[in-house]
Amino acid sequence: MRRVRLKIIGRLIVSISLVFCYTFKTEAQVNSTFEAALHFIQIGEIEEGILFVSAPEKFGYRPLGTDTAAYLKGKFYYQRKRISESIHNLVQVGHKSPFHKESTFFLAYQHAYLGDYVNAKESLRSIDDSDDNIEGHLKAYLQSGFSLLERDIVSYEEIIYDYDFSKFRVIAPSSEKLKALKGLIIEQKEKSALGAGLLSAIVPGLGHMYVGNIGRGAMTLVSTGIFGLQAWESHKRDGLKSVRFAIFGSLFSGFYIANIYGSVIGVRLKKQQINDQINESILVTMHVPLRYLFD
Amino acid sequence: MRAYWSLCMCLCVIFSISAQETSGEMLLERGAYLESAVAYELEFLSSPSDSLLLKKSYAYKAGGNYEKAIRSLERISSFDISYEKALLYFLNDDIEACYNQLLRFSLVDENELTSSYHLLYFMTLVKKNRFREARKYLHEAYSFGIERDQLDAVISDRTKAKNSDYAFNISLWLPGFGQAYAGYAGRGFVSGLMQIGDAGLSYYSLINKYYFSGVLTGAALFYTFYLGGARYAGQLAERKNLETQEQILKSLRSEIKKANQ
Repeated sequence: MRRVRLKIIGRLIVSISLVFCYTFKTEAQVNSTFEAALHFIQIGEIEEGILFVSAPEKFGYRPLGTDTAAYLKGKFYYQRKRISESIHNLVQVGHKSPFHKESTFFLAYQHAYLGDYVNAKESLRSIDDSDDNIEGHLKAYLQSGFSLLERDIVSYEEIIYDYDFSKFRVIAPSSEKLKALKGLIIEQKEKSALGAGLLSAIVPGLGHMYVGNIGRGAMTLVSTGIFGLQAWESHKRDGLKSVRFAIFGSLFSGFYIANIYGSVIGVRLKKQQINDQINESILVTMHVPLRYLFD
Repeated sequence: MRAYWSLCMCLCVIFSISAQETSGEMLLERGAYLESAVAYELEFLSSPSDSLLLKKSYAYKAGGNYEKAIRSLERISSFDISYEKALLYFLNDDIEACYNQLLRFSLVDENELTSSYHLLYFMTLVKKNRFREARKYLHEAYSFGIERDQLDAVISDRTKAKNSDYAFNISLWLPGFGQAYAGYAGRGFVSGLMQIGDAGLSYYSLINKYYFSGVLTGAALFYTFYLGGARYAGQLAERKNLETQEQILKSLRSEIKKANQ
């Protein structure tokens, strides 16, 4: 009787040990899946992180919840600057997830990065800004950035009036920088395409210089001048009907017309270039508080 | 009772198999190199060990990702991995870094230098265009089992590296001669001919009182071809060195093969 009891107790101990070992291992892995994913971000191995988060069970780890997996993938893709894939994942993070707010801010920022300001604003809607908390201010701060990107100065001023960003050290310096960028946008002088064309017609290259492309202007002046002088020399020595004059005259005419056309186009390109630079500065400035708060 | 123990053993086997399936070795054997690196990193996370980082670098190396393999090795501190680093730098075409690692490795213990080390060192010398030094190394330090009279087939004493700066400078003094020095006499002849033609055009324009054409077209063209030709001579010297490197390494391969037959 005693022997039978001992046998049963022995079997029970072995069975419980087996179950305990298996459960302990699995539980430990569940807890560490998230930390392991973060570890890949820390060591900068993004491709590896994406691979791991996509199928943690392949590496003996329990799968993550849908929201957490989407958040992590979004974050990995964001680090890799694969914006569309990051947006695709971050948008899947549910409202109840503890990562929802962070995902929303990054989602809005990345929409703005792609120039999709409508979706950028729409993304921020779910953030509650009724309280005087940092989330509300961060939301307003990002909205002020979107307004600048859209060159909507009135809307920008309204936001600045309603919110006191100086209360939050994370946002205050960046907000000041946005203010300076607003100044740049307002001070931007419109250059006349007609004026640039006329200047280039009078002196080749002068239109480029007026737009601000001094080097290109000088090059245009020299190249057009070279053909102009040779055309003049050919005309003087061989007359209007000479082959030499036909060649150099055509080259000079081509360069001269291209110089006028280039000046006119240059006005638009220069404006675009300056706007792109300002937009890039706005996006970089908008990004700073996000990194401070969430990275 | 027997059935019970059999069941326990089965569970243990299943349990250990599921652990093995996720191991770096297993994935590496399957050719899943990136997955293998991930598995090694996860193993490292749970029990840090430099040998796991070394295995991780092997996984990257097998997948052809040498930069990441080097980055993995850079995290190792407990043992010397200079040779492995040198090899990866070589594969990643960073010959200077490879050479430095090889020098470092040779300082650890000169007696432990293997044939792999000698091969890598010789190849590094060749890649650095130090052909004379490579020849001396082959003759005096390690000949890879090649017969002494066959060593010249790998690299003869006439093999010299072309200096790209020298080729450039010669072409500035004597247009076309830089290309000829680099081993491309035909191209040098064409380049020289074109520059003489440009100079002739300039001269012809000037004596016929086409001053602007003479200066602005003839001289400008001559100047362009003159400088371009000199730069091209420098590039050709570099190209010739690459060809020589290829030739030496090809000969070395075939001579080693012959020696081992």
